[in-house]
Formats: sequence, C-alpha cells, structure tokens
Amino acid sequence: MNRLRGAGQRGLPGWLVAVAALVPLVVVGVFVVWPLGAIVARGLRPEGEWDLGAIGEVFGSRSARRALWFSTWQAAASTLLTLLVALPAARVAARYRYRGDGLVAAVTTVPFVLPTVVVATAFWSLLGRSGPLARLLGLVGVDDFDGRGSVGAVLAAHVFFNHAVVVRTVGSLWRHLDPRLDDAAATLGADGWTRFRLVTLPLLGPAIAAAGIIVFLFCFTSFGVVLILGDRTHATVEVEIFRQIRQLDLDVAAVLALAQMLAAVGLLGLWTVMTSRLGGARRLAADADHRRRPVGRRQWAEVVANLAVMALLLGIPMATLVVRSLRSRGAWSLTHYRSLFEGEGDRIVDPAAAVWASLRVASIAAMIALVVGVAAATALIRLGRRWSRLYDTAVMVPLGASAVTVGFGLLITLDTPPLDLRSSPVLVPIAQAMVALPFVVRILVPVLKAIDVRLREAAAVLGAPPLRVWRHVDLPLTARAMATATGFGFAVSLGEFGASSVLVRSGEPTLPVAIFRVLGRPGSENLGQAMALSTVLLLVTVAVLILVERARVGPGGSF
Amino acid sequence: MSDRSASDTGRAVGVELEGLRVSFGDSLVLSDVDLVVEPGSVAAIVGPSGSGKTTMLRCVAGLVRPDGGDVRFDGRSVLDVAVHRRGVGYVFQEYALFPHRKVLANVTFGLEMAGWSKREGVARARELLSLVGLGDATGRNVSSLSGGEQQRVALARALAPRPGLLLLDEPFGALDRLRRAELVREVGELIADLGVTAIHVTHDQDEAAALGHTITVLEGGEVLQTGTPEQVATRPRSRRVAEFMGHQVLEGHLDRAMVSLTPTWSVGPFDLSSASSASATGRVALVVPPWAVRIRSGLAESTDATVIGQTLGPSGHQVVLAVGGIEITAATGPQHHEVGDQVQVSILTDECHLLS
Repeated sequence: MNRLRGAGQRGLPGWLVAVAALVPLVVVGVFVVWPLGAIVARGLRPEGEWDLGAIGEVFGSRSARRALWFSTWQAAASTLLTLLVALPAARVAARYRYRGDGLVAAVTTVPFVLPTVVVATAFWSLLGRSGPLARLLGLVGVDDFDGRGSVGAVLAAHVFFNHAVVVRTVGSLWRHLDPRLDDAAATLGADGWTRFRLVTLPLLGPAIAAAGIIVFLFCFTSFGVVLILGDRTHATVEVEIFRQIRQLDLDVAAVLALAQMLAAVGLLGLWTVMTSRLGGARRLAADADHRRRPVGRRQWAEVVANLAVMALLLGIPMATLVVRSLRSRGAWSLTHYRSLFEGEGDRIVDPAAAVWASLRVASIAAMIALVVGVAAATALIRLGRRWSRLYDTAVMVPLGASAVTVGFGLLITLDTPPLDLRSSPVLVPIAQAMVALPFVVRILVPVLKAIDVRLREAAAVLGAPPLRVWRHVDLPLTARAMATATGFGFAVSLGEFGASSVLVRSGEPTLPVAIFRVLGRPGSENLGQAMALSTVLLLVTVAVLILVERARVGPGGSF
Repeated sequence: MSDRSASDTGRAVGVELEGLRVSFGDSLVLSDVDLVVEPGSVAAIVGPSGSGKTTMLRCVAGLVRPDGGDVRFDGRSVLDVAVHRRGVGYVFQEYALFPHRKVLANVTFGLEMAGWSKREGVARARELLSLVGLGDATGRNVSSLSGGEQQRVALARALAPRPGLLLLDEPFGALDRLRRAELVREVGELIADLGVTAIHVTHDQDEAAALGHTITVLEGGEVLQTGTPEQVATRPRSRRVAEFMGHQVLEGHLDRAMVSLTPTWSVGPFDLSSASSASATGRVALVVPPWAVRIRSGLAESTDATVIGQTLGPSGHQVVLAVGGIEITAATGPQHHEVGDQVQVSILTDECHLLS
C-alpha cells in the first residue's frame, strides 16, 4: 500500500524504522536471552558435552516436580480467586460514575505497582502471631493463629496484587460495551443473570481471558511473595531456581528456567492473540463511555459494597504495615524510623543510602526502558498483523523470564570486555529496565496507534517535511503517554526484587533488597525496622504513582 | 520565503489533470481522468461514495502518487514535487485539526513551516480567523468547538499560508442541514473574495451546483460529464449522470420521432436535433422532471393513471402514479390527491430531455 502515501507523507524513513525495530530485539537478546542461555548451557553442558539426560533427572527429582506443581496450582487458584473478587469491582468501575471514582481508580492500581517485598511484609505483619487478624481470631477463641508460611497467605497476597490487572483490563472493555445490547436482550425477555451469561460474558470473553492469562503468569513466576510468605516446603519454580543456584546446582536451575521460559512464551503467545481481539473493539475515545450515576438503593448498595471490599482487601494490609511501623514495645513511637537514621554499629543497612541507591538505579532503568520501549512501540505499530504478534511476544519475554536466572546469567556472561559490566553501575538498571520494558511498550502502543494518520497528512500539506511531522504531531501527542510510561517504569524498577537480589552488591542494596535483609534477622525490633523501611518504599511508590496518574489522559494501555 | 509551487505570491493557480490513473491492488480507482480548472474558478467534483473523488483530490495534493497520467500547476508537472512543497491548501473531511494545539496555533502551523516570524504569523492567523467569524476563539481548545466552528478553523488554517489552490474534501459532510446551507454560502463568498482556485469534492449535487463554476461527475473512477451546473443538470449526457443529479429517468421507445413510455401511451414528438446521437428508432431514456408531468384531463395524449403514493420533493408535494405498468412521479402543485384516485396524466415534452 505504498501508493496510498505520496512523497513526504510516509512518515519516518525506512532505515530508521528498521533500526528502531532491531534495538529492542538486540537489547532483550543480549540482556535476557543470552544470560538465560548461559545458565542453561552451564547446567546442561557441565563438561562441554550436552547432557540432556539431565532434563529427565531433574524432572525426576522431587523438589523440581514439587516446584512445578506448586507453581501451577497456586497460580490457578490465585487466578480464580482474583477473578472472583475483581470481576464485581470491574463491573462497578464499568457501569457507574460517582464523585471520587477517579481517585478510586488510581488507588486500585497502587497494589499492582507495589514492590513484592512491601506487600509480603505487609501480609507478614497482618497474618502474623501478633497481627490484627490473630488478635481478631483470638477474640473468638482461636488462639495461636499464625498465617505466615501458609498457602493462604500466598494466595491472599496474589489476589491483592493482581486485583488491579483484572479491574483495569476487563473494566475498560466493559465500560465501552454498548448498553443497548443489554437493553435489547431485556426487551426480548432475558433476565439479569441470563443477560450477563448470554450477552455480556461472551463479549467480555477476550478481556477476561487476557487478564486471566497475565495474572496466571505473574503468579506462576512469583518470587518475593513466596520466598517471604511461604515456608520452606513451598516453592514456585522461581524460588526453587534461587535455592538451587545458591547451592550451585546449576543443572536443576537450568532445566527449571527453561521450563518456565517455555510456559511463559506459550502463555504470552496466547495473550497476544487475546489482546489483538480486544484491539478492534476498543477505541481510545472517551466519548464511548457508557457509565451512569447509580440510581436507586440496589445500585448504590452495589457501589458501596464494592468500595468496602476494596478498602478491606487493599487497604488493610497497607494500613497494618504503616501502623506496625509506628509501634514499638506496645506503644506508638517513631523508634523504628529513628533507628534507621542513627546508630551505625548494629545497623544492617544504611536506609538513606538504600533510598538514594533505589532512586538512582530506578531513574536510569526508567530512562533505558523508555528509549528501548519507544523504539519497540514505533516498530510494532508499523508491522503487519502476524509479525507484530511475534514482535510483541518477543518484547514481552522479560515478563516470563526468570528474573533470578537472568540475574545470575548476567553475572556469568558479562565477564569479558567490552561487556564486562559486572561491577558497572549500569548493570542493575539494565536488568530492571528489562523487567519494566513490557509495561512501557503496553502503555505506548495504543497511544501511537491512535494517532489519526490524517493529522500527519494535514501537517505535510501545510508544509512540514517528514521529520518535522514527527516532531510536531507524533511527539506532542505521545508526550503524555511517554511520561506515564516513564513513571510506571520507574515505579516497577523501584520495586524490582528478583534480579536485584542477585545483582546488587552487598554494600549498596536497593530498598527491596535491604528490606529483605532486615526481615531475615529475627527479633521484633528488626521486624519493626523492616516495616519502617517498607513504609518508606510504599510512600515513595505512591508518590510516583500520583504523579503518573496526574499525567495520564483517559484509558490507555492494557493495565 | 519557501519555494512552494502554488503559493509564491498567493496568485490563483490553474490546475490540469491529464489521463490520471490510480489503482490500489487489483482495483482501478481512477481511470483516465482529465480535468482543467481555470485559475480563480471553483471546480466541483460530484459522485457517489467510492467514485474516486477523494483519491483524485489526494493526487492533486501529493498524498497519493498516481500510476499514470500527469498533474500540472500552471502548466508545470508537480508529480515529483513532495507534498510539503506543493503549496496547496487542504480542508480534510472531519477537519483533522491538531488536538494538541489551540485554535490559533492550528492556524499558524503552515506559517511556522514557511518560516514566518511569530509576530507576523499570529497577525495573519488572527486576520483569517476574523474572516471566518471566529475572531474570539483564538485561545480555545479544538475539542470545545462545534462542528461548524471546527470547519471554519480548518478553512482558516488551510488559507493562512496564501495557497494558490484550495482543496476541499466533503467539508460540509459532517454538519446538519441548516448549518450546511449557511456555511456553503459563506465559504463560497470567502473563496470568491480571496480569488483562490478551488476544487470542491462532494457527493451532494446541490452543494456542487451552489459553489462550483463547473461540475464534473465522477463514477467508478471515470469522468462521466463536465460542464456548468446548468448544462449538467438540464442536459445530462448519459442516464447515469441524470440519475446521479437526481432526475427521474424513464425507459421509452422511439419510433419515427414519437416517444412512447408504455405500449399504450405515446407522449409526443421530440425534436431529435437536440438529443445526443439519437437514432430514429429504438430504445431511449427520457429525463422527466416531476413538474413536467401534469395531472389534468382533457389534454391531448393524456392517459389513465392511479395515485399509489405521496412523497415530498425539493419543490413540494409529489405523487407517485401507476401508469400502464410503470411508476411516475408528478408534482401536484396546489391540488390534493388521495391514494387510489383515478386521474388523467400527460407530459409536457418541452420540459423533458431525451437521452440515447
């Protein structure tokens, strides 16, 4: 269809688009696929000869099989639970408009971006022996309740995290469904439940499937939550890899990493199919917003009940965290916070340094993710359907790659110049940028796609050569999305734990790693310190999110 | 200043299309299109959707590169001149105003590209916005404008850089009837005042007739007829043109200068010298305007008819009559007829036009 565009209207020159397409592939290849491959090779080629029998051995080993089984069933259970809890919330978000609904939408997203360590810590204090839940149960005669180390804790934390994914993905499609379809069904004699089953649900199918797949993937590859909240017998594949590498049992780690990668690629492929079905139905325009104010007691009850559940589910863990950080030896105090900043000897971590390190690293990571993400998005919208799905899956690979394996892999691959980055300050940011990349791309692509080609044509007719068209049309229209993507990438990097736990050098931990270390030491004062640190991280993340929400314009992206 | 082809001095440009051919994939969108637009005149291009009119406009602007033929401004081919150098003003369907720029900044865009100083650019933009009646709207967001206001901004934006040629792609399409009539008039006056050459693409023959000095009827990528609005309306050269212009076209039989519409109804003799290549006998098509159909008894060559329906036409009430197996629409004037009435009907052949 070159004929459709005349001279000067084609947009960016072909070579530039090709470079834009290659850069992300090269980056993901070098910093994700290669390290992964290196670990796999080390594991399956111990003496330079492929020992594929190792694969059979690994799958024969109990711990590996247990890890795979646990990953699968807890992910399935988490996904089901999340859908059960979040679909009603999505319905409310899609149908009703009320004062403060924007704030609610913003608050709903916070849990998703919170660092896993913070969430795990919050649930740790919520479900622990001296936590509020234990005390509540003690009132009804259940003593000695300790939810930590149970699968329930892991599931609860997963629901907490992934609630937002379902609400946003499904809610945004639901919001744009034409209510007249429902009305038509009603006039034809269908009652509420039947209408939901036969009209709404089929239309929402792709969104629910897409959200479900992503939630499953996140839970399957869960690391921080399981490491902290589960006990020694519970291990997802990622946690098992972590333990195995620590013991230098690389063959087990290698096979598990491969298995996880394959599962992830399969799931992501399925996911891109689902989201491409969504793409047609969804238009970015807010004019298709069908929300109405709640009318009557039943509708208001629905809204209020939903808000109550959300406050309970999402608010209480966070509240517990903050409250716990302010209590020491049975009284309100700022001891924990103060102890962070004073006393050198007994301190495990230097909190100010950790905060500074986190901010510095996350900034660099966000920048890298933005540049690579812009390149990927620019290329993605210009590819035909089949190629764009492949490219999309390739860019989303970091979501499924074992962050821990990649971390270790980076250490063993980047050991020869010119790529000897082991002690480079840019190593951790690069690893974090890889984790943030998929989110950046998801935010940018719909916005880029939505730029009306006629605006570029109008600019060209008014005298703008191709590069000026990009500067005056594409750039300003995507500026907001880029700011959002950067902010999101920053928040994700701040909380990144998997790769960081491996790559961060002992003297300069990022906040999540610091928290993990403090948590590892017994004693309630240490626990208090961990809470305090977590609260600090929570506040910084929330601040970033508020800034991001301010810059957002309307519904965009899949999250 | 820039070296833009059509706008060096703001002088009206003459446009020539010769043998223009465009195909997308397997389909031929434009086939051997010729057109001449005199400097300072307005050429209207009419046709149904899919006739290729927008593609033709895009060829002139440089947004589409034709597969064959030539586009010339003042006699010089512009095929190899890039879009941003052609110096053409283009008003898009649905306006394509920049959402990230306010009204004033939309209008100054072309001036910025041409290197105007900020002061002069703003002054010129304000001048044009006043000209289109939006002098107070300079600071407004594009999204807050009504359809008619957006259309005016689009016009101001296109005209600001003093193009020698203005291209209008169904500019009134998205407006309701009332606003459309108003704007057609205003735009016509504006174009005349500025003396710019214009090509106006539309599917509405009334708009075309109102604004254009010439009308070109395009269908299926081919030019069916070009002429003044009067010529095309009263002397359509083919049945397709007549039907597109909204005429009632009836099948008839010509036998020795006498035309009959049904075996039993001979409507009268025709002066064959004015018809285009009509032979002495054979099938013909007759353009019969509703006001040429008279409901009155006692006239020569009248016949029986039954009223089967009523419609509202551009010139008032009309009835649909069944006559010997065909349906014919007649203007009734002040008389009132009920469905089922038996009447006598005849045709004023002077008002009709014979097509071969």
